[in-house]
Amino acid sequence: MKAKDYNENLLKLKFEVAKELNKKYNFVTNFNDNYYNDKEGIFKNTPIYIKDNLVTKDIKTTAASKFLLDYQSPFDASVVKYLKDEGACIVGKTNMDELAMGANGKNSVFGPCINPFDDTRVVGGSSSGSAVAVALDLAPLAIASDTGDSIRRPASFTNTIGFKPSYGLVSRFGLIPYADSLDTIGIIANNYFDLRNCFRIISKKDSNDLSQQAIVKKANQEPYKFIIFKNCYDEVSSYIKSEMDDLIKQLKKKEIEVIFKEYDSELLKVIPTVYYLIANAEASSNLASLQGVTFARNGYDLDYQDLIKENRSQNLSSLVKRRLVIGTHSLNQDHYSSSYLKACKVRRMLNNMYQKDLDDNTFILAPTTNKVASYSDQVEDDLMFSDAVSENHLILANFSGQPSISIPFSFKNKMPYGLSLTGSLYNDNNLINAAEFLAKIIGDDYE
Amino acid sequence: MKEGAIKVLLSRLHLDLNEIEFQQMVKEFHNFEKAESLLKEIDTSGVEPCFSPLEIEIESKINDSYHNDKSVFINTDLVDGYVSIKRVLK
Repeated sequence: MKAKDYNENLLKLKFEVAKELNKKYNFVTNFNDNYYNDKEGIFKNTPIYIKDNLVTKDIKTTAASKFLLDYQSPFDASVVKYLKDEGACIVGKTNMDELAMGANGKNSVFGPCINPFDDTRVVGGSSSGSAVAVALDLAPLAIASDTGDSIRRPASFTNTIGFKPSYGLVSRFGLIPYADSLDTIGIIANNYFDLRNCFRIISKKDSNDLSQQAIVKKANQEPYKFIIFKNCYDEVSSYIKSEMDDLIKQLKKKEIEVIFKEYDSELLKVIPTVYYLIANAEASSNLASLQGVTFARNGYDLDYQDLIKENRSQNLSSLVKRRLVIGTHSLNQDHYSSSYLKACKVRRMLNNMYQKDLDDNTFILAPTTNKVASYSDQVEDDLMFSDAVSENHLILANFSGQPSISIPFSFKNKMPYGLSLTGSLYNDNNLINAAEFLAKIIGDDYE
Repeated sequence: MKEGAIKVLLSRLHLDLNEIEFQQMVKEFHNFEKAESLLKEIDTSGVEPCFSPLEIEIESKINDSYHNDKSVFINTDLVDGYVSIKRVLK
């Protein structure tokens, strides 16, 4: 259901249904009973969900962390303000991995988010709740954030569209940061019309975020050219490869240029290592603000140092504590050059490799993930991922800042999986057009 | 040795770990060492570090201001929604 289909009654009905479904799927951390917005605009009467790491003045912002369970922001994040100015009704904050650190949607103080396609499987993270809200058709849009693959992975596992814009196009004012050189605010949607409108609105210039770039390119016309990421193609499960082959045949029949490209496999192997060192180093710097003074929960009567120790030790999960320690360790004088700085150099090499050969109408095509969502009891969040390129390739767009989108592709035993497209920097509008073009060929219901 | 390094870091960070968490941390230090040694194999001589996708734009602006002074590079750091631009001498 699209934004234009909503009216006041439908909005109310969807809100009540969402509250019921949340008992099973656990996709919302806090609902907003005062959601109604009387402003006029293109999203009038449209319910929109917001990931719980974006601050809102009417709803608590917890980032799914025990540390922030009581936190109430005095202001709205810029993207929330922009959507409200267009009449959007912010109906709730969505469940996520604690402080956006996780790939499965399991590591939340509110408990795991449940996949609507199979309740024994993960949703993918960290933007798990945003993906589920859209997958259940409780809203046409949800706002989320993507640091490694946090929008595109859950979109792939829930048959939704997950869009990570170019780094710096969308204001991050009001986003609780994880790794600020990688963090990007994006959109999970169920149709391209609303996705375009939402992107246009949230990418407005914001003087509060000096890192924002206002140079999104205008869309131009086809023909498109697609580069198949061969390293990923070679690795994925046979059922995904077979669907890819069918798609390639259809593209060639339409005289669309499709080429296979094999990237430097030795360099690709270190994607998770580079991410591990950069993301944890930046996280340790950003999490320094969680000391328990501004957002204290325990030990009000303790002295300053004990207050910090009490709050950090009691309110952060083991996973987040490991990130803090490893990140701080990699920024130590003894390790800085061999870990963080070295990772930043390899990041440049990966960026140069990945951006080469791209122009406004050329896109890199790969399966979003190498298989359907895993069973919940078979996966654990860890700081270091496997070195499978088909599992890690989405991170490349965060290293370089390029726009990237996952669109619904196909199903295996009723479980969905997605197709990923990545474009050149600031070429977001063309990327969305190319995604819709492919969606029509694939024949999904998301026109 | 790892245990000692972890204890120093925990003290600096004002953080307590229970026994299980401490053992997980020791294991994580092995991962960290593996990460360092894996990157060591990659020849990065002559490669400038990339601290952020935005640095190219910011760097060129700053370089203009500093008469193309190549001894300056930029790191962007988002703190509570605000960006501070730090100049670091190589």
